[in-house]
Amino acid sequence: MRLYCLSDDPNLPCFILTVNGRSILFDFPLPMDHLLDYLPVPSPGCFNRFSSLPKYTLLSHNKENNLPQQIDELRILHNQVYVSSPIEFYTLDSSQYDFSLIDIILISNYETLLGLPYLFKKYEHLNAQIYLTEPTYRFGQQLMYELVNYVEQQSKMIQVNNQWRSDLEIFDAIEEQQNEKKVKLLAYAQKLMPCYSIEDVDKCLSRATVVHFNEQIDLYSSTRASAISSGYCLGGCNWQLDINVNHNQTSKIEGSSSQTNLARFIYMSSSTTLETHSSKFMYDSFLNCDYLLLSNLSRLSSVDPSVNASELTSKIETILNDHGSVLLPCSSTGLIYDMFEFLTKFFEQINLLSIHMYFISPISNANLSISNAMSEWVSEQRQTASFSGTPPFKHNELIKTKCLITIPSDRLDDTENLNSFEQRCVIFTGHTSLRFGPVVQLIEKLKSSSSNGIIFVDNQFSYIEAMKPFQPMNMKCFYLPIDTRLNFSQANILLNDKIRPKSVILHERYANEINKNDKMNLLTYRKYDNLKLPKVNRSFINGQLNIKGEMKPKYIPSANLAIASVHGHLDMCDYVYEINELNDENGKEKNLITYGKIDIDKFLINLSKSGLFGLEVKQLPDYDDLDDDVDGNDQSNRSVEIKYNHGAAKILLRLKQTDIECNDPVLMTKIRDALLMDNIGTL
Amino acid sequence: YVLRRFVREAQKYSPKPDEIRPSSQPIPSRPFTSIQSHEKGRRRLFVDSPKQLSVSEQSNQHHPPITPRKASGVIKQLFSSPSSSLKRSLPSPNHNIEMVWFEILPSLVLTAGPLLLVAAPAMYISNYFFLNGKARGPKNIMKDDRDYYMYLRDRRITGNEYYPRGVEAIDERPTLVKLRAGQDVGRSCILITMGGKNIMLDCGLHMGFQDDRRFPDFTVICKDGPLTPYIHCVIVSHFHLDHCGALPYMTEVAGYNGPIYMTYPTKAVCPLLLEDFRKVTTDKTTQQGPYTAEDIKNCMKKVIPVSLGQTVKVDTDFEIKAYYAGHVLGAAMFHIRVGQQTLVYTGDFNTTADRHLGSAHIDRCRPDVLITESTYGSTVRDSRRARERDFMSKVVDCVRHGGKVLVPVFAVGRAQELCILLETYLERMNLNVPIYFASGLSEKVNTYYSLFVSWTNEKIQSTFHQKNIFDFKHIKPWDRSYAEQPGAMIVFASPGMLHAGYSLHLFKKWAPDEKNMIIIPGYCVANTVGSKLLLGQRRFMFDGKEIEAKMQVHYMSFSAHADAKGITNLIRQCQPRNVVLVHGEDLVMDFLRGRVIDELKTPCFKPANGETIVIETPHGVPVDIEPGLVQQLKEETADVSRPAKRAKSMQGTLIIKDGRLRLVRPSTAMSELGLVHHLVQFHSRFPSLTNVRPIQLVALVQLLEQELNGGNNESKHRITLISDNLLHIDNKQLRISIEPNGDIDIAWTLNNESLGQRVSSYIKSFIDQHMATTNTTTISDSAASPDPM
Repeated sequence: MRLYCLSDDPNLPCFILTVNGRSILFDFPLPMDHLLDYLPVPSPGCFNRFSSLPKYTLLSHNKENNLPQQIDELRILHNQVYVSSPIEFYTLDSSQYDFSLIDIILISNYETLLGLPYLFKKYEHLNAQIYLTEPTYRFGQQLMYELVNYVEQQSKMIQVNNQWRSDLEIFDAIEEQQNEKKVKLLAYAQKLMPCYSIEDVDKCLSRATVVHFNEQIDLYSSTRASAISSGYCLGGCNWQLDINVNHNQTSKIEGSSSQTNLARFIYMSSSTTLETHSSKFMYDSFLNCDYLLLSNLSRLSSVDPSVNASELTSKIETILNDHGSVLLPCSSTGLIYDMFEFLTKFFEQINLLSIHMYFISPISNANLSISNAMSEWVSEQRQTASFSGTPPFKHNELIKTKCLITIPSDRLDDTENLNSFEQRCVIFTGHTSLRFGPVVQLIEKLKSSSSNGIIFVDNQFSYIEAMKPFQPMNMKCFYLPIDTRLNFSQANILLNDKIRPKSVILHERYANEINKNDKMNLLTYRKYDNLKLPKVNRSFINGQLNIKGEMKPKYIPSANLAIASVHGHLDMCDYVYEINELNDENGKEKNLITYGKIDIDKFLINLSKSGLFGLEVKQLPDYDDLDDDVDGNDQSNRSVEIKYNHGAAKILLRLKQTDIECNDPVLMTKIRDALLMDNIGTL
Repeated sequence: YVLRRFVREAQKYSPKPDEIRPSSQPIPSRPFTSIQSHEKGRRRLFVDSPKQLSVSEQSNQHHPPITPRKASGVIKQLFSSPSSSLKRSLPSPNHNIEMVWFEILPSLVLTAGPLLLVAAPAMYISNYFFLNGKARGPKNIMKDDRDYYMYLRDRRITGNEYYPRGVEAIDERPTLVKLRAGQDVGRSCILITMGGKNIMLDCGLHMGFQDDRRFPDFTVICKDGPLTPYIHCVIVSHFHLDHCGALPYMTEVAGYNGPIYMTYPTKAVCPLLLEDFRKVTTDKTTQQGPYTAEDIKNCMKKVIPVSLGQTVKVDTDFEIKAYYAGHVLGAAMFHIRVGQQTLVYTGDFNTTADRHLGSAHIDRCRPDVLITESTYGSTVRDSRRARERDFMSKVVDCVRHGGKVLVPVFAVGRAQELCILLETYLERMNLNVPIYFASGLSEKVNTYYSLFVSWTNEKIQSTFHQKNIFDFKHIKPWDRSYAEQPGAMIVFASPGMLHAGYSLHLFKKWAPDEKNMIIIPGYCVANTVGSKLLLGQRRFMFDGKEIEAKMQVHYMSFSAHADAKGITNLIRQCQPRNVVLVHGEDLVMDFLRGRVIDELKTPCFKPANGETIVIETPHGVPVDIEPGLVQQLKEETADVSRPAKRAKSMQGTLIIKDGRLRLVRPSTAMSELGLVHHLVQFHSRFPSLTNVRPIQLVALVQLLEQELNGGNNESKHRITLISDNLLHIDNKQLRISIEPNGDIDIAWTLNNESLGQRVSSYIKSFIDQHMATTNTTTISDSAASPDPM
């Protein structure tokens, strides 16, 4: 078992696990950290003040006409280089690993699959099956559509000229010129790809197999996967793999759960022990697992989300009381469902009526209706609601009472729509990077008034960096991240007191924060590491015993167990071991195993019973057992020689061996029977 | 012997001692026609398993007081409490126990010690007990009801929807079973014992009765007191009352606290229907009903919802998994695994996708037993499209002439299907006829459909976030005042059997007008207006007034059951080892049974009501094999031909400890147990003869090769010459050596006695001959020695 770690950011998990000759890809998120190097792009038809920014001028790069070369794509704002082009992305795949060999893709939640269309676009021979839960599938699809939608409208506005990217000399020149500051964008500039299209999304999702929590999926015969609820979001899951470790090749996992030769590999992604709207975090089946791959912990080490939540309400209250509007850049799914209900309740409490909440996103309506259809994936409390016929979320009610207004368009007109935001209201919109989507326009509109406010609840991007292009701005700005994922102290409790895995695999950045435990083997990874996981040895092969006749187990009181001798055929077909007992009495007779010592007195009596008289019994010196620490005086341990009829039969009894020398078969049978009768232990 | 003791215990509790009798005793001469035993190749482990089937049904005129449920308690006790006496192996071949209920077969009671009882009872045998019918069947009520028979005949042709027929009628005597076959509208309730777990599949209601006989007879399970100790879990396949109607009665009145499993939508919709049923059946004046609203609530609290595909662990080594069945929203097939045994129960299912539901699907899970419904087991139905076209043409015809169309439906199920059909059709045809849905539940029910979108078909699933198909644009809620409106309209009204409510009200109003039309899309229970109407009655008395129904009456089945093709396809898909047919008429099941046996070559059972069948499911016992044992075998057979490899027998030791079985090499077992191997070796010694030249072993090889491996002997022996004076046969099993003093020593172990004696006799005669040729003196005392050459 080997683990390839493809990402340097533990919050951007991407791993390949190779097991029994197959490759499993865990998650394929889309890196977004570079978005902050782009200039914000408002919707088409709106005034775009960023387009008139000065172009980046390369002073040193003058080859022909001594004129400074200008790069169209790069602009200077607040003394920083920004890219002015439609958003492009890079992916986490590397040439170190041939991605077209991946067999299985396991997705843990809708945040970690946005890169998948690239994968299927790039590797045409990739024939992997994607396993994800239904909410992950539906929301993931919507989020991809949203992304495509936003980027498409950008590309209509901005002309692209990517030539500078292919010219390494320009890179050098920029670096030279910006020597005091590191230019991050050069690191990935050449990897950037234009955003995928709707067709790519559909093509990729056609590979998806929708699964349910706790559904046992036979990935291939020796590996079984199941998605276990992680509590983080609707359909968010951790993956448990049961791997048959006994064979290098495939080996079937039988249905029975009482199997000992399975190794359990847990891939833990975003999880939370908090009560949110989704079904709760289950880790019962993780206990004492063999491997635990830990990723995607909270970015904040210790802040309790509930503290920030109450802070959030008070901030919103002050802004609204100031007759300002609140702008909440957030993702189009997930946290907002809780926020809607939470805020409505809060407004009722403080008697702030007639406050409108706006949810602006091309997928707003779709997401709300999907979330209400996911009644099997919500928390138990909300499930009870759905059993009595009311939707698990109250969106429909809120929409009916005009508390919540959804604007399912990808753009906002400068004229009518925006005017309605001049009254005090709460606006939820994206994208959280503030680089595209309706949020750009709204900031431009609201930033002039100091009564308005913007509150960052998402901590994926640095809010200072995100706001930089919009400066100067008068509106209030608060940073109240709500990150429900496990933090280090929770993870420590979980690992050390509850799950107790045998090996934990985590990013080296986490290593210092996780308490070490001598029973726990800690493995750290860095980007592009190829970890060899410690081997788990199970000492037994699972088989099936088909008993034909009657089996007489013999009870051994000293060990409190029973033993029985099995004589049969062992068949192995497709690595399923099956023992078919031979229903053959002779065979059993033949295969006696003898143990213990021979009671000489009894043996002699038995011999005489079978009509053998005139035995010569002779004690022999213990020449045979010199090595043994047996007390030589002990009669029973001495060797004895018995002779019958002047050498017609000679029996030599020793501690561990009896030799019967006899040329007459009849006589031999007699001696044998006498020996076995009530004397020596047989099996 | 445990078993003897158990029998004695059982006898104590059994009022009829003849219930438990040795199998050697002849069973009273009653025809055994309906017993479907599957006795071949029964394998026993330690205890001779009971052999017989449900003899009691045949052996008693009355409904047998099925008693051994008490005995089962005893068995449990025996299993759970460490018995004081140390029990050695207990072969008791003469004692077969007869049990009808809870045929707990302790096939693997390893009685080595009190702590070693390996509780894996009933490994090979599952026991199905069908509760659907009891001795006191419905035969009395309808014998004279000619109309009802006519209606039944009609129903058999057209099929039914809401209350499909159940498993066949019931009588004590098998001969009568045939007569009454197919004449009972059933309820589904199946009891299963597999691997020591008692599972109830569905808990249905019989609509033909008005008293407690409509419920399954829970006293069969337990005379009094709660059922909880006797049933490990209840699984409900879907929300139709003939599958879940008796649930509140069972949990609240009969007393059951164990887990009940149903799918999410079933759990959501089920209480609505139960409540509806309760309202209809509760006496308005005395407030006497089968159960109260509170009972329903409490019952639903005990329900554990399951999702499709989710593997639910009921107990250790006891899992259930739901598959999509398509019959109604939330209908599921259940895959049950107890230990090694697996079973699939289909409930009602539909293999063709319709307008709002998908088609049933199951993996190739190869269960030991598949219990499938067989409602339409003998028919191949016309296509859905044809039926829809027919329906629409009738409706359009009527409304074009200004008539009103009344479609009595139940609030859930086909109603939505028809609504979608009408909605899409009218949209396309641009017909502007008002459609109303008159039902107290309709709006709520439609919400359920949008809450559980993942249970609908793929088309709806992929589009629901754009347009919710269950938000009908043209179908509007009903208002009482609309009844007086002139002009054409289409009304869906509940309930579906015209026995009360909106539908009856509208029927009274509209029946006299011949322009109007009523389309009954599902089955109606006897004595309701709906069934009378279908049977041809046209004059009805309502509140002292006679109303003559001049309106057109149509019966059109929109049932969502699989037909013969669908059922066989499902069986093919699932590949069960045995098939059990339930939920169908006798003739239908006979037909289907023949087909399954002939075409699919699968054993097929067709239990009558109240009959218990036993199906054997041969499974091995899971053991842990020591890798060394496999390795050793591999080495031993490394250079052997394939057939020899196959014939190679293995010797291992089974260690039974703490309920786990391990198979190890004998040597491992010895060392683990601290036992010292005692080698018993036999020798045959032939003294050297001084006057003869010494015998070369090489010469012996040739001899032995010929003697041992010549001819058509199956098992070949491997003869290896180790050195000049040492020869091995079969890898040290037998050794021939020439001692330094010239003696020939043949040594073999206890296990190779016959080989050793054979070899020694060959050699003896060889030596004799050798001496004869060299010395010309014959010293032979063995007359029986074969001719060596």
